[in-house]
Amino acid sequence: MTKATVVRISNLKLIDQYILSYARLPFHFLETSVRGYWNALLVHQRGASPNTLTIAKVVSREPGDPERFFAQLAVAIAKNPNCKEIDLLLVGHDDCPVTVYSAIARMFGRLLNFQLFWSAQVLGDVAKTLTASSVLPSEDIYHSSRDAVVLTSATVGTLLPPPLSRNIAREYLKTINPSGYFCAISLRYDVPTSESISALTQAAERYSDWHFVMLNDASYFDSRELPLNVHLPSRAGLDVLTRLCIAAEVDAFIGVDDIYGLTTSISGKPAHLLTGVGSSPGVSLALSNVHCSAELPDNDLPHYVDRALSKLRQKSPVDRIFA
Amino acid sequence: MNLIIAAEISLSRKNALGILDFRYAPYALGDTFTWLTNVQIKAHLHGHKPIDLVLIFPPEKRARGHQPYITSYNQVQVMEGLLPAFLTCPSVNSLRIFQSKNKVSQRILGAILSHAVSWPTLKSHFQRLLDPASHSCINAFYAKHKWLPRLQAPSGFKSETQYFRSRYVRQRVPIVINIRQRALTHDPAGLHRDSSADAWYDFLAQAHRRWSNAAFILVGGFSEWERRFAHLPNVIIPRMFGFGLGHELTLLFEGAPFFGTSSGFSAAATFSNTPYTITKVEHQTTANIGLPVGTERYPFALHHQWLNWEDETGPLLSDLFERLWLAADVNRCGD
Repeated sequence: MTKATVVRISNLKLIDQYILSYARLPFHFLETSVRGYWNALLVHQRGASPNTLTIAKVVSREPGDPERFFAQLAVAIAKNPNCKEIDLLLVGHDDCPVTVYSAIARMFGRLLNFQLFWSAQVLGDVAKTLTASSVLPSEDIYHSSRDAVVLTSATVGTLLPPPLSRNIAREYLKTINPSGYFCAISLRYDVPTSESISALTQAAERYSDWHFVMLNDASYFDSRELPLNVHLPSRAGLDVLTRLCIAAEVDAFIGVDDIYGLTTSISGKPAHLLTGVGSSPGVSLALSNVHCSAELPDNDLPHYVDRALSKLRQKSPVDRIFA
Repeated sequence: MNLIIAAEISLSRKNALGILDFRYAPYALGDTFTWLTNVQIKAHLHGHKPIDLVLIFPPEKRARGHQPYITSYNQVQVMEGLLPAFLTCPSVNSLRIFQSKNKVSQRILGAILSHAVSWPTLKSHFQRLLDPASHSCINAFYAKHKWLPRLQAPSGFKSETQYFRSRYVRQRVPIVINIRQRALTHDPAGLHRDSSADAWYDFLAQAHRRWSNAAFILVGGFSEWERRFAHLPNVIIPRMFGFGLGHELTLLFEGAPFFGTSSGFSAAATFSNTPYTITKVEHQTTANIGLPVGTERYPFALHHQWLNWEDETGPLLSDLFERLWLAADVNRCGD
C-alpha cells in the first residue's frame, strides 16, 4: 500500500516536472513580463508607484531609533490613509535587529515590500527603479531620520495589526483573566531592578483589580520575584509583533515612550508616558489620551507609578461607569 | 526603453539574483539555508557577484499543497518568524521581500532582459520548479572546488546574544540543541521525523552529572518542548527569556556546537563551520542529499561534523555527545 502510494507520488512529480511545468513556463513568463513592464510604465509616467508609501530609513544604534521610525510611519500613514502598500527601504546596521522595524511596519496592515540594504549606495541604486523623481542622496536619508516627529490625533486609528498576532495578543490577555483590565508597562532601563520590582509590587498590591503586562525587554527580571498579577509576555514566547499587538489591545499604558507606549497611545487608549529619558528623542505627542511627564517626580519610580495609576483609574471606563 | 527598466537592468547586471517564491517554495527553516547556500554557489560560479535576495509572498496566494495551514491569515507571522534566517548569507547587497506582484515582476523583468545569473534559473522559476532540499549542486560544487561558501551569524543580534551568554550561560560551555517535536505544535507535519522526548530527557538528565560544565541551549519554537525540560538545571531555553531565532542562530554560527535532530536548525549547522552531530537523519532524505543511509558525514563536512541515522536513545545520545564534546573541546583548545 505504502509502496503503491510512493510510486503514485513519484509519477505525479515526473508528470509535473516534464509536462505541467512546460505548460506553466510561457504563462508565468508572459505574466511576469506584462506585470513588470506595466509597473515600470506607471512609475515612469507618475513618478512613483500608485497607492504606495515609500519610506527610506537608515537603522541606527541611537536610543529611540525604532520609536522615531514608528512615529514617522504613523504620520505618513495618517497623511496617506488610502495607501495600499508600503515600500520600506532600510539600510541595516550590524548591531540592530531589523526584525523590530519589520514588525513595526507590519502593524499598519498594508502590503509591505520590505527591502533591506547594507549600504546607502545600494539603496540609491534600487531607489532608481522605484521612483522616477529625484532620489534622496545618502546624506539626506541619514538626515531625514533625525527629523522631529509629532504624533497628533490624526495618527489615532492608523494601526491595523495582522490578524493572527492580534488574535494571539487578545487570547493571551483573556487567558490571564477574560474580564480583567490590563495595564501595559515599559520600565526604564536606567532604574535599578530592585527599584522596578518595588514599584511593580506596590502597584500590584494597591491596584489588585488590574493586571500588569510588562512589554519592553524584561530579560533581566527574575519572574519569580514579581507579584502574581504582573505578566511577562516575552517569557511566554511572544515576539515583538505580538507584543506590539498586546500594546494595542490593553486598556492603559504606563512607562517610557518606547514603541509599545507609542502603540497604546495611537490606539487611543489612556497612556501615561515618561518622556525624555533617552528612549525617543525626536518624537513628541500631542494626543488627548496621553499624559506626558518629562521628568521623574522626585526621582522616585514607585511614587510615579502610583500617581500615574491613580490618574488612569479615574479615567478608566469601569470607574466612569460605576462612579 | 523607459528609465525604470534601464535602472532595473543595470541593477541586475551587477548582482546575482536569489529568488524564493513562496507560491511554490515551502516556508521552511532548513530549506532556507539550503537555498541560501545554492544562491552563494551560483554567485561564486559567476565571478563572486554580490547577491540580491528576492522573496515573494503575495497575500492572496496559498503556499504549496503540503503546507495548507499557511494562508493569508498567518503568512505574515510565518515570514516574520523566518526573517532572521535570511540574514545569514554573506556577500548580500540586499534582501527584498515583496508582497506586490507587480513590483517583483519588474525586478524579474530586469533579470530577464539582462540575462542575469539567478538561483533557481529564471526558466525553473517560471516553471515553478525548485527542489529546495536538494544538495546536488552543493555536492558538485564541493567535489570540484574542495570548498563551500558557508553561512554566518545573522547581522543585528550580536550584542543581545552576548548579553544572553553573560546573563544565562556565564562560564559554562554552550551547546545548541534542537529536539524536533512538531507533534506539540499547531502545524504537525512530518511527525515520523520527530525525536523521542524521553530519550533526550534521559540524556540531558545524565549529562548534568557527566558534563557538568555544559549548558544546553534548547532552541526552536516555543511550543516544541515539554515543560519538564525547563526544569532541568543544565538546560536554558532562550525563548523563555524573550530571545528568538536571530539570537539562537547567532549562538550556533558563532561556534556553539550543535547537537540535535535533523530539521531546520541542523541545516543551519550543516552549512556552518560549527561542530555538530545531527541525529535521526531521515532515511528518505538520501535522494535529496545524494548519500546512502548510514553515511557518517556530508561530503563537504568538516572534521568535527557528523550525521547519525539511528532512532535516538539515551545511551546513543550520550555516546554521540561524548564524541562531539571531545572534538569541540579540541577545537576550543585549538582556538
